[in-house]
Amino acid sequence: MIEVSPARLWVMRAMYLVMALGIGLTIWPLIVSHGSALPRMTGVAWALLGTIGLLALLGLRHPLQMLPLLLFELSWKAIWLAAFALPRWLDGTLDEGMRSSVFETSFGAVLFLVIPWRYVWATYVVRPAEPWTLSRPKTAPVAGAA
Amino acid sequence: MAVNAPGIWRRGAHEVSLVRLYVMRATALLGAIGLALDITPGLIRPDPVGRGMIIAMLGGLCVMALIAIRHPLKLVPILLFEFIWKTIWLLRFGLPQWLAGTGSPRLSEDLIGIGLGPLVFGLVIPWGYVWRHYVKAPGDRWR
Repeated sequence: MIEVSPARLWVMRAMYLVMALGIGLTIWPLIVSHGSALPRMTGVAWALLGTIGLLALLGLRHPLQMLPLLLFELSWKAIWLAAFALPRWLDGTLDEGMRSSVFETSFGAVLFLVIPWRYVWATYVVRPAEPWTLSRPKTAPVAGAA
Repeated sequence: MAVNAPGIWRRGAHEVSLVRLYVMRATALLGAIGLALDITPGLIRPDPVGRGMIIAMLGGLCVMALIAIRHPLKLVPILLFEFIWKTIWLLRFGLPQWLAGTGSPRLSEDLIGIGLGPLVFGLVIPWGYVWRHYVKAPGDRWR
């Protein structure tokens, strides 16, 4: 079992706090008070972002158990930068709105420093998968199995 | 001996039954496939007007769902994520728009595709496990 230092846990908690506050202040007011006529995807985007903020609150208490939330943050931001922002930047069609999104999303790079990678590696890669079959008691071989 | 024999319905050392683990894995697998099919067109030929945020977020969930096939319990936060965002959408967007008649032409499609999510994930999530590990269990250490 890889130990994660208290300092690292605090850094992770700070990250969760930034996520919860940032989304709590910007997205949640929109979710709570909005008109009923909205573009189709706006509601979806707000609900997705709002959920990140809510679950980040759980991360304050259980930073390690909520690691999938940080990994999710990192992966969607990486996908967005690579699949959407980069091509437009390359062909020069990156507009003002997207430019500011690139700035905000690039901030996600701090996740590389926040995430305890050795722990992630040990927990999600090295450790055997959760059971696929019923585990049998080691001391009591099944009768007639041979 | 039969009393102590492991059973697929019985809660084992992992604190959920094997049946539950398989239900969670099936959800993860179907989710990964469904999300991948959902977002591929938008990734290959991006909408020139849209910003692609939603596609990227669904892509992130797809990646997480792949990990969840191997570690369903450790990825419970992603099941909670699916349950919560679909509940928020249903209560704050889907239902109000449906009641007010102001939804997009594809609202009924979304009411099924997204709006059924809370029911589905509500059944798949091992709530007892969530309660024991995320509410009752002491948090990670503070010092």
